[in-house]
Amino acid sequence: MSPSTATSEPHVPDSSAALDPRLLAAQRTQRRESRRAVERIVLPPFRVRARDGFWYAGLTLVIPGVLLPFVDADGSNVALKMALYFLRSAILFACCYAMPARASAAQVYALLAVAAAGVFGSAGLLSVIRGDMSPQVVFHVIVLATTATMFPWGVKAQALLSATAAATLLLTRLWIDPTTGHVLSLEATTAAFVAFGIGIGLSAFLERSRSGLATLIEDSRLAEEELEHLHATLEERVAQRTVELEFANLELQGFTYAVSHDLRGPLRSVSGYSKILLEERDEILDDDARHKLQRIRAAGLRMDAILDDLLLLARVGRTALRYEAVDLGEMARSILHEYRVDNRSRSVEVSIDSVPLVRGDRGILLIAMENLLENAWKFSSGQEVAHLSITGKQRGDQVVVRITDDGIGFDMRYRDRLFRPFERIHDDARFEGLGIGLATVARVAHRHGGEVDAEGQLGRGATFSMTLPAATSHSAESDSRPL
Amino acid sequence: MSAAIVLLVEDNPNDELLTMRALRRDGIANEIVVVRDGQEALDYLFGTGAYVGRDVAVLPQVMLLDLKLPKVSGLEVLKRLRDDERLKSLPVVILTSSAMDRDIIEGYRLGANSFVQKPVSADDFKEAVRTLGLFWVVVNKVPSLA
Repeated sequence: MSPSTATSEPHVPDSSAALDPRLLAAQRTQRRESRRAVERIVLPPFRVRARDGFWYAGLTLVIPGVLLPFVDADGSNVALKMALYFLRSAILFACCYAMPARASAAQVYALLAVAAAGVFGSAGLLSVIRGDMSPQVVFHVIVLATTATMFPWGVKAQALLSATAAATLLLTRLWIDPTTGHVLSLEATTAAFVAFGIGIGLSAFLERSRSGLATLIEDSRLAEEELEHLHATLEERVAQRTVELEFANLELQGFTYAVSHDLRGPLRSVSGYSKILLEERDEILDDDARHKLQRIRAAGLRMDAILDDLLLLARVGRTALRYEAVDLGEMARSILHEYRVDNRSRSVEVSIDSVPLVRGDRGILLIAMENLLENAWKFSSGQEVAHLSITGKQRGDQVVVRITDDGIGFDMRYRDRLFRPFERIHDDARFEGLGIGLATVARVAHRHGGEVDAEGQLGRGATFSMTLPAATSHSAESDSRPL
Repeated sequence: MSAAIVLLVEDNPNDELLTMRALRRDGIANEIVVVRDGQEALDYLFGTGAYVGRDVAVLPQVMLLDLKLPKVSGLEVLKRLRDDERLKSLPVVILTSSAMDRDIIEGYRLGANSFVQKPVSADDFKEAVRTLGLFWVVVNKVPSLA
């Protein structure tokens, strides 16, 4: 019934060559940093200093057939531009531009283009004022092909906005240098048409002078260089960090290999030679010596078990996840069945709810479930009849799986230590854990973006829970989150 | 039937002794040849180096191959055997401490017949070696040498 939709995790190609999650995180951080650097440099706040340009703000009077606002400049190098806004009976909107004394053909063309755009703008304005398109935004963009001596290539945009028909008008001009995103010129006019086509409004105008533009261009060139430099060194830094992390990862894998291979060899000798002494030199050994040899062997076996757990913990952290829908209730049933077969003397009552399907990696979820169930089984061994229960509830797009036993429990004061590796909170030799199992469970949950938790009371049992992503996101079984 | 030779490729003298004990106990193998690195294993099988003049037509019944070996690694030894027409079908049992997935997959990919992790417990170790000795030397059949 489980839809087997196993898919590989996209970021991690395979388990052996899997990228270390830390490596990926570091790369993400670097990318974020570089993005922030770009934002800082490319988008400076628009600010105009006196020597950079000029501005004016004034009252605008819109009268049919009469001219409108006028512009002045610092007089030196720009602003040979006059704007005349005529409003005739049928509303004609036009612009006149005074040209530089020695205008080039390109400049003439550009100014004609502006004038033409003004006519198009008028058409929009006309319809706005007539109420055809209200409320409406009329927007047009003209590209000015001016010579570089006058202005750099730029994009000029005009927008007409009317909130209600013929009531409020906002005319905005924006001139942006498309290569840098800098605002070169900004103009806004609002006017309220009072009556008979007569309007009163306010205008504001900001424009950078050529010297200002030069500074701006220089600024943007420097910024670009800085950005390039940042990019170059960023690549370098990422590359270096990547090498370091790959090296660390390799070292870690090498270490894991050494742990599994090189430490096992000596352990096998400890166990093997103790055994040989016991078997072949029995006649020269007294009981005390025999006992000590047994203890040596037992310690060797225990260390072997620790190595196994360590390797498992490392594997859970490293392995690439293959997602599919997993039935943890069914998994628990089959694990506990094995325990029953192996421990026929134990009397354990088990109740397993139907657990909503979770989305996860079957292999490492099995490791987690085995750890939790083994603990529950082991720590309830003092009960004449032990009780184990496995329940599952879906909450939104998550499933909480609970494993409860009525065993020796634990002191809630030590709850935080439970999930840390190499921590044990039971002194009792019968319950000697290796201190790695619950850390492994926590790691499995975290790999799935989930959580672990534990509740317990000394002598009164414990409940361990894992929160994992649900395989289905329907919240029909939701008991806490309203839709 | 020719003498059942077991070729043991093992660099660790302690493991060598434990393996020999387990194999000898039930008289499984008539002859156990021990080589201590990958190059020596290749020399033995190809009749080169210290084994010049050895009758290479006489092949072991099974080779027990450790993976982590000096000079030439176990996987490399396996690869060279499988590239050789004569040695292609020699039964090879990888007997190693490590049971990393990567090694197991690579071992089988290169044509290992079996992969056994050396148990740490002396009893388990003895039992594992005895079992695989019984199977590969006594039960299993290899082509008769002609």
